[in-house]
Amino acid sequence: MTASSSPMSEVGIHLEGITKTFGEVVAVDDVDVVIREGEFFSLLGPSGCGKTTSLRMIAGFEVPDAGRVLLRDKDVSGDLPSRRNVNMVFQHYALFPHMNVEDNVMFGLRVSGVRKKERVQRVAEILEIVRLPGFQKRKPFQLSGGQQQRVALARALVNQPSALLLDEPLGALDVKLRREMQLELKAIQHELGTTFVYVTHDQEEALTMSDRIAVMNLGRVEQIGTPREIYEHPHSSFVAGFIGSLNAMDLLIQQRHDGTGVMAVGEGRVIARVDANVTAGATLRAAVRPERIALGPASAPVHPDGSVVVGAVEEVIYLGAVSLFHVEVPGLGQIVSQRMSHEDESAFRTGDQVSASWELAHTLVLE
Amino acid sequence: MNDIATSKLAKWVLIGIFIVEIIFLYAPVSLLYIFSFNQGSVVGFPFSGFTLDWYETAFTNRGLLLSMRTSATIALMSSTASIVVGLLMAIPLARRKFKAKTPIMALVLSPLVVPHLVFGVALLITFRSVSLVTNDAIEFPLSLGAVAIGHVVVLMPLIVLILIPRLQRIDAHLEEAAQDLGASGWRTFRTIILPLIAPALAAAYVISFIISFNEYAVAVFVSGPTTTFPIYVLNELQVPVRVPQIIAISVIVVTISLLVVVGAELMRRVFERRYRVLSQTAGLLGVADADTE
Repeated sequence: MTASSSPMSEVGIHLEGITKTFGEVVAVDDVDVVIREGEFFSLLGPSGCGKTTSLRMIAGFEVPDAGRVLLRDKDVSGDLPSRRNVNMVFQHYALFPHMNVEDNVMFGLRVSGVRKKERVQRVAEILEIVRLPGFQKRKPFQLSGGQQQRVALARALVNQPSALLLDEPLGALDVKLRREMQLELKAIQHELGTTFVYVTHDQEEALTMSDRIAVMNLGRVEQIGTPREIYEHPHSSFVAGFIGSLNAMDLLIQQRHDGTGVMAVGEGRVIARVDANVTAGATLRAAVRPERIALGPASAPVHPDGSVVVGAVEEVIYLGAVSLFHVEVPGLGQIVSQRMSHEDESAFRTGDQVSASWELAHTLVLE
Repeated sequence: MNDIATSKLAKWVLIGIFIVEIIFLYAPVSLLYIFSFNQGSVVGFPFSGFTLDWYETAFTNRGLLLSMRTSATIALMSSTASIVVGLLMAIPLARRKFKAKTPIMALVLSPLVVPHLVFGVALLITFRSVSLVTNDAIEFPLSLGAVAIGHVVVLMPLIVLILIPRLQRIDAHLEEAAQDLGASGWRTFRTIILPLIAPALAAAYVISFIISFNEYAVAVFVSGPTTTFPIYVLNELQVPVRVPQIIAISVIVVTISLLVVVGAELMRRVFERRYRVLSQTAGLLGVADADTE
């Protein structure tokens, strides 16, 4: 990643080549990430990819075996969690069960010696922001999951941390509440301007909320970019496969033409933009997003200038707003096209011969 | 084929066993209650009239009262010492991962399987040997203090056993949350851990107090000239005329013990249910678990 030169790009957190092993397992492997001040940054990846361990190294619960953790250019690698000006929201909230909401939220203020009057006032303000005004005297067990989540958020934010670390904070909530909280978190982040570092395995969640995302796999960062960059220009098969669904295919380049490589498939072809060093005979890993594949009559493809293949509809899966068409293409295998259910193309039925076509730019060549 | 657990016969056999067990447990104790009010000085049926005299005699028996005070002092000293040491042992055993955990646990709990009698003799020999080897420079006079030391050894494994499950049920993330909010280790212990285990601590304290108060086998070897309550009771039982008042005082001790133990346990349950302290993520000690949830 090259650092942007806009004034907003001040460095908030810099993970400088951090590595962490547990016994034989390398949990985090030479990760280098620059998180800008005030951005909503997500660490996204499957279980065991090292995202939580990376977050815990920022918080100070783990000490990196190699590399440094810099908070606003200050090396804090060896500092205790209590000495770092970052606060964490835990997966299962970790509210203190024997304290009421007010005591929970003011815990950090009390530790840092803020006077009672100011404490009470700041708690009231932050409860307002997380939309729990008047909840001071409630006990955690009297609150719903979503409310507990807000208290956990308030407890961290009231200390005005230089960054807020969130470890799958919405994991325990049901889908509907999750969606609401996603938007609300984003709004709170926007309002306060605090740097948020958000760990999740849910790609939709990361896409919804993040300014930028680091996709992690097996302890390494696969790609860093905005949600759009990650989705539309994935660098690796892992990233392409983890974010959204896709049709993966191996392309045997048969001929080169104007910076593109072409593979004939039956009567049709698949074309892709390729580097100059790719010669005929090379095999490339490529992918197409299902929503990019348009269906048309076998004789009249929608994108005649792009990739065009012909096959038989094997299955139609209706999902409400969209429908999935499984098309068996001789010489290529099964490809999936996702169409809006109300579009005319959705008239195709099982057994119909159709053309599946997509624009040149939508053949994603993966590393 | 009938499932053994649901068959009618199995059910009635189990109920029968339960009833027999209850009778053997509580019939002797109930007899104590009955005979403590029996007018005759010979313990046994027929019942020769109701009286409260034995209670009065017991409460005016100086020797008996002194022995009870001695036992209470020993119980206070030994429970206080063992609750502190037991807590210090239980915390790392419950909440940290380290290699020597299993052997250390075995060492801490081993007094549970050593007969008190054997331990009492061993303790006596040790106290004597230390005096001999050091030419009385270091001396352990057989006394109240010696009994208390012996009781600490007996009580500690019990306290550790009571506290460990409670400590394990506290979500490890609570400690992390406190530290994340700036709290030192001591502050975290004082404001988070201690309040959450307070009911278990109280229960452990009460139980060890009662055990120490009633302990005989260790005390009899190292008490020297000191007479503890159980020692006094056993001596007095050899004098037939004193038996009824011993029964009366036993009834009081048994009643208080039962009430206190049951009360402490109830208190603990009410507290834990109220605050839903039982956490679903308890036991998550290391980050390895946290990342592969």
